[in-house]
Amino acid sequence: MNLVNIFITALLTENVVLTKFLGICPFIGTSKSRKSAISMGLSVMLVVTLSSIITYFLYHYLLVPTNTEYLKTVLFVLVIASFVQLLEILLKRYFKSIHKMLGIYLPLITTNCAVLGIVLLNITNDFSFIEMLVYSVSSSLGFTFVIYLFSSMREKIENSDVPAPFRGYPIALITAAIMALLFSRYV
Amino acid sequence: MIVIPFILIILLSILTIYLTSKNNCKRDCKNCMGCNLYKEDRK
Repeated sequence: MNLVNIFITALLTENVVLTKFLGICPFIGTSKSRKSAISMGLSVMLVVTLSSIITYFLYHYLLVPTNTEYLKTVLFVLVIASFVQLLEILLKRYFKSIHKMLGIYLPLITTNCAVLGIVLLNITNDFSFIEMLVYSVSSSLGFTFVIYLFSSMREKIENSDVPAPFRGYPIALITAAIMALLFSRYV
Repeated sequence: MIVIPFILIILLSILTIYLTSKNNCKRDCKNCMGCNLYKEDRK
């Protein structure tokens, strides 16, 4: 598949959040402010890209030669978990404000289905190394893009006159549904 | 050969548990390195 094609598809038309519905928890949880959304997106990008590279090599040079492909989910979860813990140590040390802002959502990247989903899709789609790299970066960029877009809208909605029953999460979920329709090309 | 992935899984589990225990330290030292010790203990 063409690299540009992979990039555009993963970024927009097959967006990991709005068409595959992976990573909904941080999408709703950290999208209250633009700053937390962008730092969450960047953390996910870092974890996805690095863990994709490691898992690609582990799968093709360790699991396939030993016929233990069935261990891929366990191994990938552990690689992601250790990466997230390392990231937390680094953020705690060098970016304390971001660490405080992300709070519980940072260790929750471990259980973010978007991360495991992208890593597993790299394997099931049988990508070459370059294709895998482009797919990982563009998928996580798509995640960041969507979460940033959503947080901007939520900030605007917060200051507008919303009917009482729709205030807070209901209007946020309706907004997310309309965004999902747009990204899935139903509108 | 077949045992290598299993050994790797065990090692990664130990690493993850070790790093998680370091991250759960509640002491708010300046320039925290996640060492689970008080600043005084480090000296």
